[in-house]
Amino acid sequence: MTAEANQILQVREIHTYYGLSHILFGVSIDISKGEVLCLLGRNGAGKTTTMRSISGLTPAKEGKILFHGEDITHISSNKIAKKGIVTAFAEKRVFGNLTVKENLEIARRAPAKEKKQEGWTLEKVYSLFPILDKYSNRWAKTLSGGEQQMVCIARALMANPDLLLLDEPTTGLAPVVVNDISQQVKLLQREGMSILLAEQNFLFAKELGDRCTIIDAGEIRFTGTFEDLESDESIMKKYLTV
Amino acid sequence: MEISLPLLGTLVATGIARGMIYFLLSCGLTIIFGVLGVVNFAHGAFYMLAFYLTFTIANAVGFGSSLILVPVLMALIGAIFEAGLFRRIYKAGHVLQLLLSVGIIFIISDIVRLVWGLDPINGDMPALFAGRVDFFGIAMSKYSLFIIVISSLIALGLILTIYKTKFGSIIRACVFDEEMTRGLGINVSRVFLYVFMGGIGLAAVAAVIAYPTTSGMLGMDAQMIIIAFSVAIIGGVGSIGGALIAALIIGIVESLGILIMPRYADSFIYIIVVAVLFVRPQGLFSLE
Repeated sequence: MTAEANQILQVREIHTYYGLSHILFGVSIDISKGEVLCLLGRNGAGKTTTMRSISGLTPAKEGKILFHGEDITHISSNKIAKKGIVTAFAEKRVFGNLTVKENLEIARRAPAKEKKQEGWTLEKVYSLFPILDKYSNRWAKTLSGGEQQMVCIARALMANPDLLLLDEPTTGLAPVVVNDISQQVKLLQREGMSILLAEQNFLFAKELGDRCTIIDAGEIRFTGTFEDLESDESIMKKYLTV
Repeated sequence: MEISLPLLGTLVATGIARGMIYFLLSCGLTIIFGVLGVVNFAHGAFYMLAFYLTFTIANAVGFGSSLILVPVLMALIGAIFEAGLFRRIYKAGHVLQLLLSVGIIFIISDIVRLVWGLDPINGDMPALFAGRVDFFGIAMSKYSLFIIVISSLIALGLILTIYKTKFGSIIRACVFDEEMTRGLGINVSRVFLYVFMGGIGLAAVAAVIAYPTTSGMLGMDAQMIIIAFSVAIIGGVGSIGGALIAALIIGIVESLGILIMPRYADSFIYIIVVAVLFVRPQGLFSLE
């Protein structure tokens, strides 16, 4: 009972389709409050689809998604974001025709009333990503890939989410930048943010994640701690290219 | 024929005034296309409906009131069309959008015929604007000056809204990546509704402003939609700055064309359109 109450997100046996193609086959995930859960898997394994199902962009056809115990499976994506689940997508989807500041401003939403904390503001986001302060009046499309990724994460934070979905934040970035982003996500973790982190980069994930779950061909193959995972070489070899 | 400089000045001023009306009209078309992705062929029909409404409202409560009442009324009518019809076909492809908007042209034309009849209507020039003013040596009608001033203010307000307000940022974000905008918790459906209302409202402003200078009749919508599309082609679809310059070019060319070759005045616009399509098919001021 207490374990249930502590869970922020419960994904129960969801099946998701793109048109006629069946992508997710009964995926289940649980995330506790303040936890960073890593969703690991190869390209095309179903990581992004899982995130899109949770955020309502590609709703699940079967199964249930509970957020704070409330069924959100068939709620529209903008309402899900308002309830507190916000995604930073893999393809660095900044609004290129808006300035960095405008990108951040349009996502701004006051935190839910029951929470006492002040929530994210431009100043607070800039202190986490100082480079964005420097570039605040530049068109977002003129930024480098890593900087655009930071805009994406910062923009998601401006909506004051309870659960942040980070979809492969390190894809295509130089190691130095990956390190920067890793530090920033760690700070978020320390603040108590619940995060679902989809990754192919095992080392990056291991550094940040509390637990991990492995998805392959649309099915969950493993859920547990990183120690458990590393001690089972067959799973590592079969589902991850480490 | 001798063309004197003052005459040329007067014609250019008249052309600018006409151009500003075209700008307001095609701005609505281009914003609706840019944000909603719908080519609204019925845009000219909405303009015609607004023109006839102006006739009724201006005769009842005066031209000044109709300047506010008609655009507000038309924006509400636009809301009904968006929520009832257009909303259903955003993802349906251009053929269905074409069918729907052509259907709406027929519906509006029939409404106009039923309510106002087949006879053309004539707009009255408000007494306040009758006559001419001397504007730095150029004689222009008071009303042309009024058109230029009021439509410049509206254009300025529009540009400030789009580039300096949060709502404007949201509109531009929708143009860039609608799904991501939704994912941030923004109610994109409501944004679309407001943009459609605004676009139809702009067509209505154009109609009210044009009302004292011309007459209205069934079929006027076809002429206006062609001009609106010409502006979009010359200026580049989705570019407001481009629409402004293209609309001014068309207005001035029309005005001068009547002086130089009255019989072929209308064809000059299409020559420009064809030339632009040859040289720069994406439009003169497109960012692409």
